[in-house]
Amino acid sequence: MSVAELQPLAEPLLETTRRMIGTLQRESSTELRLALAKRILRQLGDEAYPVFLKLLLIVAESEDAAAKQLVADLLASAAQRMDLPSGALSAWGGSHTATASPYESPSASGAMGRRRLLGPIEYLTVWYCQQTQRPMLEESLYADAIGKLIGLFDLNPVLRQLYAEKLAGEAGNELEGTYSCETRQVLSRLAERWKKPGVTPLDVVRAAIGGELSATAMPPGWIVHRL
Amino acid sequence: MNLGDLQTRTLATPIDPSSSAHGLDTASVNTQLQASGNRLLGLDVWAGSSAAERSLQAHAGTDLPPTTSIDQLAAHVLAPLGR
Repeated sequence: MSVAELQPLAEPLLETTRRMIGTLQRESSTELRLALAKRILRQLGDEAYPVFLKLLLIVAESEDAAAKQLVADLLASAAQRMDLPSGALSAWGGSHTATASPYESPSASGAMGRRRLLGPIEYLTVWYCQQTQRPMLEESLYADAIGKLIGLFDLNPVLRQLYAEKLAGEAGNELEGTYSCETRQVLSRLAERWKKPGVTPLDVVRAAIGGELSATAMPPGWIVHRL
Repeated sequence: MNLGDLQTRTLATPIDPSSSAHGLDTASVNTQLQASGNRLLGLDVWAGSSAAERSLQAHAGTDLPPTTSIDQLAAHVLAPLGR
């Protein structure tokens, strides 16, 4: 399905984002806002985490400063609780099927059925770098999404600090098995650059992908990685 | 107020989970979402909008009643997507 064919989804996605912001703004309690965000995620379903990411991107692309700050502050609270809204992708070397439960243990479903719950940046990076149950994410879409999310997350210094440290820590862990070597390298570069004061989202994106964005548009479905 | 309180609050006016502010076919939207794959991230929902129009404040007529449960709030948020 091409982007043009998806255009009828624009207004429903925009309206959903407006409703999400409206309901979050109405609740004064951080606990209730977090509970609502997680309930929205749960009702979307395991395979619809990209829809949640799209809602975050719509906020990031908006000119609504209050909405952006609300989301950044909410995610900062979630990061402080080590409970960022997460989506499931199959682990490195895991199954590519979409039927396995994300919560099944390796002993219950076999190592090939393992999935991991990943926060927004980890999810996008695994999607971009690894074979999962989803077709791999193109570099241009990855770079665009990461840049916008970094810009959004930068609005809360606590979120920026905690999330960058979390990514750096996970990227340095070779034993856990969630990430491929390439994913760890991308996450490590992203985190190290993001931790430096004064960097722009574009700086972080360039560091993550290891250079400039490709100037040549790839045909839809083509995945080109830097080797 | 805690989460337990919210779960037991009643809805003053029921929200129709299938309601959409724009009268869209939510079943169709849901199907399109499932088929969208990676391209969804590249969709420009703000195409043709000026900077001043890029606001996320709710449209008139989509306000929630004052008392709703968290499940009803989530259903209200996701109704335009047919979820």
